[in-house]
Amino acid sequence: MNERTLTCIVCPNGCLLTVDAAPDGTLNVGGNMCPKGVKFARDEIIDPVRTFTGTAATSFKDHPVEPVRTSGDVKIKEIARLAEYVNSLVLDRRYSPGEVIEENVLGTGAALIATGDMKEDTL
Amino acid sequence: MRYDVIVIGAGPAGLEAARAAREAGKTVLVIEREARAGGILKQCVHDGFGVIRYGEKLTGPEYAYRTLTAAKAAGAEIKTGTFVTKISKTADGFKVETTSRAGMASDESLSLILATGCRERTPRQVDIHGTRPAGVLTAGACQNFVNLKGLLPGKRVVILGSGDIGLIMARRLTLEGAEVIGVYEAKSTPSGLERNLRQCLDDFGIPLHLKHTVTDVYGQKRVEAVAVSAVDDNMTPVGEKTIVPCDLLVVSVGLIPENELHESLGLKTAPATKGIDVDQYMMSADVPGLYSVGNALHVHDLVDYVSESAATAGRDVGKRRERNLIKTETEGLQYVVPQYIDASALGEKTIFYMRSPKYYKKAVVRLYADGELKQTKRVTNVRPPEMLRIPFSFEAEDSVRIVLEEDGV
Repeated sequence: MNERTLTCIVCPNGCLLTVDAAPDGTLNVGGNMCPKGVKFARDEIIDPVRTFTGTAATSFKDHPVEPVRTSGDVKIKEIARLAEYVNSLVLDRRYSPGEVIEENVLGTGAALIATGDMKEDTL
Repeated sequence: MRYDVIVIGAGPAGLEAARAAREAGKTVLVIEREARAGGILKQCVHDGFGVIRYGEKLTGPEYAYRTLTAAKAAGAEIKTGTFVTKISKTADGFKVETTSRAGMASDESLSLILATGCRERTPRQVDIHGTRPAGVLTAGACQNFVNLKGLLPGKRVVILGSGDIGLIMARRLTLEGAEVIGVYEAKSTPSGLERNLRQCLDDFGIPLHLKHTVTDVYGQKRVEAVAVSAVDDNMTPVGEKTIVPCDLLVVSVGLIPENELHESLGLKTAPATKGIDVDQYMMSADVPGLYSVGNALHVHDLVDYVSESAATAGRDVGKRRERNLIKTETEGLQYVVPQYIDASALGEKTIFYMRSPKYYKKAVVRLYADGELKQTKRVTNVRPPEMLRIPFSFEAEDSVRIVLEEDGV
């Protein structure tokens, strides 16, 4: 038996999870307050995932950067590549929160979506 | 103009209080000094907001957008780019004087909600002195530069303090191409949420040095290096100083409620929360009709609870004339909000927000009313950086007492 402890980052409860790896490879998860903890612990051990968040430059002076994120989790090893890609973008139209900027960004299976409101009037 | 309620601050607290008051049929004016509503959430581009309230992992701008959209849909009038210069008591309410591009104005209301948020403790407040080279920033100022202005304020970064915003910025600066050398924390335990230590530092291999602090900043025009040193249990530097070359020092050493406006009304700042004392509807214990919500009342760890308590205040506007206030006595707690209970208006549930002064693997919170034990709630993994939120159902006439202690002693 090989036991590991992890802090679940799915929600702010931050459950302290224990993961037991049985010799046959099955993982037993404990300490979770909800089923999401089990999935988190398994992903975390096998292939961890995160939601990417960042900002992309725009061509608008009143809104020089637009916050963006992936529509869902992507593999942690894709994060650096995504950051580099997003940092190379210049958005030339105004987005609203939730609007898709690019589907299946870098083949991750997740869409890159806008999260800030660029259409709002400013003074 | 005359309103039922004026709300100062259009962050998540102010907007949600405004929505709730408006939906209860009140006329509402929200005053915001920034050009856009949404508050600090606008610059919190990371996710994790709204898991409790919406069951979704939203970013700050998305959470702000939802709250703003709901407040607008409810019909709240929001004046942005408007700065409050003075608030005062009138015979039956409050007068709020403002200045904006449209000029000076004065509005009156029966109730007033302070939703002015909090400020960051500055480097000077943690005894970092010397010359003032460019490149010493609070974590929030750094976040503003990177996430709103699209500027990278440094390439080789030292972070002092393990508060959440510092941890979030460690990740953010790394993803923007800067090198974060390490996070130094004078205390023996981290200040930020466990989940942020994991996903912001561990994921990127950024070291956290507990019981270490920055003692000196070097550089004339620009930061060139800092000196770091181990500290003892009294946070006094001990041993050799290590010089760490860097061009940016980010300081994340805590938040303090903005208290200038309530002090101008003659209200005392409570030492434990740095906000005012309120009842369970967030109404000031001293000035009827005055409310304080969100981080202006006490610094929250989650915006979801800011929205919850702000809505409680908004719904209460104009409802109560007489109050029977009882002080909430505490034992084993850093603080509890509400500090007072209006015993004449106890609802089905009264939600207490509290912080523990120490770590407990297992603890128990007990509520006593009129000297009798009414309810017991078990809690696990209690940490000072994480607020406890506990709803209690009880009746009380002359005393309320909340006790936190280790479970099983």
